[in-house]
Amino acid sequence: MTPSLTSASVRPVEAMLPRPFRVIDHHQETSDTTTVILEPANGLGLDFAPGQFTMFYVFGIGEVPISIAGGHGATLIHTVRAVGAVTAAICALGVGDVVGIRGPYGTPWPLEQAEGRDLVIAAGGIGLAPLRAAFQYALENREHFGHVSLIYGTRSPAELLYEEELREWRSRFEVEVEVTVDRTAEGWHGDVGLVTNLLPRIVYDPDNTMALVCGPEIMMKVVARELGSRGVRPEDVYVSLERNMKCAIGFCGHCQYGPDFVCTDGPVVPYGRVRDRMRVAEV
Amino acid sequence: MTGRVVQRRDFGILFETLIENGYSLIGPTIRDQAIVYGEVTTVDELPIGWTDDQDAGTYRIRHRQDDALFGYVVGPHSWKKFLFPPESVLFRIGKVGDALTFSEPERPTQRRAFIGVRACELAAIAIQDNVFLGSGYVDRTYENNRDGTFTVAVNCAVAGGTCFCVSMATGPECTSGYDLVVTEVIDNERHEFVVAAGSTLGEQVLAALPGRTLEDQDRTRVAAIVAGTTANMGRSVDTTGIKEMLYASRESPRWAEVAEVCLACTNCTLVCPTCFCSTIEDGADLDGSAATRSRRWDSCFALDFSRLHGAPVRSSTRSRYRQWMTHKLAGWYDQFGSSGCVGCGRCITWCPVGIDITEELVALKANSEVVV
Amino acid sequence: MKLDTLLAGRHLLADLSANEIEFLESVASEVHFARGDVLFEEDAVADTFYILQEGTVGLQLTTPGEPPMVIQTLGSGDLLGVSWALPPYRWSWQATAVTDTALIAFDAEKVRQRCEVDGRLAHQILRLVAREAIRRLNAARTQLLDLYHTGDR
Repeated sequence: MTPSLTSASVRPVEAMLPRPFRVIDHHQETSDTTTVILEPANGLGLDFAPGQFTMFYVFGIGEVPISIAGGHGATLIHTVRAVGAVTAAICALGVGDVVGIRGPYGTPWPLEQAEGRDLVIAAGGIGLAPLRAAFQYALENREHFGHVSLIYGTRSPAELLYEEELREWRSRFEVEVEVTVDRTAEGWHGDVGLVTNLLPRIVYDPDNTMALVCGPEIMMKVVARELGSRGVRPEDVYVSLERNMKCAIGFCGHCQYGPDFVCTDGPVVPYGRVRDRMRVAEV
Repeated sequence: MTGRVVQRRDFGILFETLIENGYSLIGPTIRDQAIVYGEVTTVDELPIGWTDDQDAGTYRIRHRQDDALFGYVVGPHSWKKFLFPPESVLFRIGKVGDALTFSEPERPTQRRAFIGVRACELAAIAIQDNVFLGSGYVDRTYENNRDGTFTVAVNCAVAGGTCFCVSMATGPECTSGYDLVVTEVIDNERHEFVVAAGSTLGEQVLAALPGRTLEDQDRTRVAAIVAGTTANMGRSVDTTGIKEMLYASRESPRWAEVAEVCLACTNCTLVCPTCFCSTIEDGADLDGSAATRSRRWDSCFALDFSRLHGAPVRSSTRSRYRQWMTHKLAGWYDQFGSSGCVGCGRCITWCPVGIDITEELVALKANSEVVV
Repeated sequence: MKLDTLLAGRHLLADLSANEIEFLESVASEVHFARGDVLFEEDAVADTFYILQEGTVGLQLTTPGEPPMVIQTLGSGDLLGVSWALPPYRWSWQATAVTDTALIAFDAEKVRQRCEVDGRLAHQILRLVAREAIRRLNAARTQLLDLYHTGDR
């Protein structure tokens, strides 16, 4: 399951049918968030592009959409926050447990279009999960891009995801990684404040930048607007939408946002397309 | 394609022929004071001599002066309940130790003949064909139900009180998507059926029906019937610029006004022949060795429909009504290349408080012009 | 010192004329603070403002019985200090160097005096300060929303 950029165009034939995957490792990131590493239970893996998601099924409980956080060779990585019955069950999975995975679904981050440009990756909270695969792609294909920056904001130091990886990324010279928290805690000597405060620190040419933004909708809005006030065009800012999903293949109607199906027209969309919708309540 | 004029006394042979060819028949029949679609085996089970009076929030059947077989329009049922059933099993999951297996159900081809499909309904079936078969992924349940369906369409000889198929360019004349099309001609001098084939299969069935060849006067009568129905539509709608107008009306005060009366009862989505929303249910057997995933109809009017992170995105009735109407009459164009509305009028008839989508359009348009 | 050699924060001065830049240069100097140094104290007279070049400065308030908590950090390219521009010219927060820092310091009193007689400069300075203050206000309001919490409100 090496991430590729073109796999998104291949549509699985039996799109509603999950395949069995086995948990081979899991790691608790924070008090309510766990990263689960899976491998196919019967040899049939899946190719994904960063930004896509799968439908993750736990036997007898149900199924939820989860962004793909990464994967290499035969592994699939998901980072899940326990907010309901299914996600709580996922966070409680043990090594050897078998689950159902179908996918990948949705539009990926436009990493091909971003070639030759500066890349600004802005993550808020668990929004770092779908951006992790994009950032790793940029690291592995560093020569394709100009300046590469990652800014990441979360609630508090205890809620940082991928702490060890963040430290490793921060130590690299060829990318810039800045992390901030909304509220500090004892022992934290890093930045405090909203993730938009980090924008002046990083280097990017507003005329030649692709920004990938993921986090709570308000965070995406304010980051997109801040980028806009610094000269980045709305069509060069991509956000990842989220809506109630049941089928993930454009049939059940639940994920509609205006005329867009978040599962097939998204979740990754250019900010310019949804900017007007985002300021109207209950769309 | 050929046509034939079949006399009333011979019309039952159509039913017999189809049954002999292995079809089970579904057609209009009276149940609980309404004309619905159910299994029929003989012509006698049709609502002979009945018609329907429809208006906003009103539906009554009453006797006609004659014994027409198809002298009414559409009732609360649409053909979607047979093609996109209210409940269906998607697959079963087996659990042995830690291992999971996923298996699809058997989907044998069902040979069914739909009798009495109106022009608006042909359009609705074509719309759902596009949704379930034509948009990239294929829905296996729908595909299976669609295969093996024989369609006997009927040209409406009366227009319903809430009909506006003319405005939506879906009728009243059936022009494609059928195996046979029937126009009932009934007056003091005759009771016969002009039957034309629309497919090779239709030709074969037509060949088994006794009747005389079509003459110019038959074509003239059919044209006159269609013209009469066209001129008597119960409602009308101006669809010029409708998509842009609805997109621009997201913050129109009209939505709050209709929300004052809308009960969010979901009747409109249940009776609408193109509404396709569904939900997925995962259930496990008690002994934990098997589970089933099934799908059932859902409605964007349901409060939980848009639940995200513990709360609905669309929690007000106003936002849900806006979602339904904007999707049906505007968003659908961007999604599927056509309107989602076929002008059948069911949502108007079956709304318990009589909300009329054609009136809402007029009001929204008026508001949108004021804002500019 | 020459302001066009600033490592960071040039955008803050983008709307100033050459004369105005020259004036600011005349009241500017390079300064360094080591980690842990206090740049200014809560409620002290605001007589210097800064543009951060390198390092991080944290804004905090002291509360009895609790260690001081940083509510916001500023970094390279940020304007440090907005309260110097309007009466009562006193700092609302304490600014502490979280890391070793390099800054450009400006004599706030001299700038205020010049603004009394130079209307255009006064206008530009207030616009600069207001823009940063609005940005901070919006960020702080968003921070209040506690965006990353779980679904149960």
